[in-house]
Amino acid sequence: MTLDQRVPEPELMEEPEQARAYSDADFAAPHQALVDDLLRRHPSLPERTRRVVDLGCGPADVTARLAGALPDATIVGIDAGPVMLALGRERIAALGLTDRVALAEMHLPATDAALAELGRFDLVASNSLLHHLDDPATLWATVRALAAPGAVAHVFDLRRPTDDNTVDALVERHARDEPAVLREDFRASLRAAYRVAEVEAQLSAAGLVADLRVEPVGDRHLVVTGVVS
Amino acid sequence: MATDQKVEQAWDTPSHDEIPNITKMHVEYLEQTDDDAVWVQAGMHHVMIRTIGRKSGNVHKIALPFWRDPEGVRVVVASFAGHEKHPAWFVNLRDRDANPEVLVRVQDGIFWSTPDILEEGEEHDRLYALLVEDRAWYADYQKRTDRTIPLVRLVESRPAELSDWE
Repeated sequence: MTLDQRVPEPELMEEPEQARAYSDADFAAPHQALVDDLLRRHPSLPERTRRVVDLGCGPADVTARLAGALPDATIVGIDAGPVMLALGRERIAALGLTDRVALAEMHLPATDAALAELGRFDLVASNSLLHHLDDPATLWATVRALAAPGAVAHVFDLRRPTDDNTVDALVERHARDEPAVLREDFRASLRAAYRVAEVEAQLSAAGLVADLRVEPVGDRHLVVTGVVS
Repeated sequence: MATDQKVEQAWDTPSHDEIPNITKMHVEYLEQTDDDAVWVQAGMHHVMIRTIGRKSGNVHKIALPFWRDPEGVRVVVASFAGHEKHPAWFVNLRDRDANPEVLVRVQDGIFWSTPDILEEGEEHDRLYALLVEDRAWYADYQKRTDRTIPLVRLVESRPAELSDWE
């Protein structure tokens, strides 16, 4: 079946088995690669970053890696799922990062008041959130609300393959030895993901098209990155 | 942007002798500016690719129009306007010893790519058919030659810096 249209998946990963499998999965290599990639694109970040928000932080593995890469920054991770957040808090405590990393439960779209309370950030980062949202405009409005002038925004997500044959090939290539629940998550996420042109249309609608650019990366990702004016 | 990539041919196909010179001049302009006037020619967005010559070891730069596949990945066509031989840039790019990665310069950026080379097969044919829907002259180019015209998907493998280009 061709995937001209996306197949949405549920917003939250809240089945305990699903959340635990996701939290325990070995994402060390791709998550570290994501943070390394962010620093290559924006080399001045470690020096100038004081406040970071990680949207859709899940079990806070990327959040913790951001804390490692940005030694002068405090980081707020937000997620709508209490099960994921509990796993994230365990991780942050185990890594001794509680003085610099806080996790908060928040559902997007959040109210203006809730966003204002978080304040503004020098880096707004997000991994694998966009394709979970009912309305993608929510993410871009949140980026706008939370980015300080001159902040870096960096959104990383899957991109939707051309057809289900390609989905099968990607699941086989990257998740072959994972538990069935994770393989199914990966398959559903690929089918729910956006494509470059779709994200560009979202950026246009959000007035961010001059600031952020979308680039397809590797065999299954896209990155949206730039400086918010 | 990628929603409508249809272009009607409104120019004469250049001769095979003219192509290298046109390319050389275009590269020189592209290296100087980010302007649409230079990066968008005949309604088509362009890329520059830097390859290393598989025999000479020299740096070669080429400017090519690209088309985006349904996922949004840039695709360039090794058509050489239907010439019987592959263009030199493709022969170099295909040589993974000389070019494990190539540098790709786009209008607002630069990246390293390990290109997806489609010389034949189901995926090639499916993409070529979609390409021809938007840019009919590539069907004509295919008719002029016995070789199957390859497609190259230029997906980013890692970020690069402008200083890598020189």
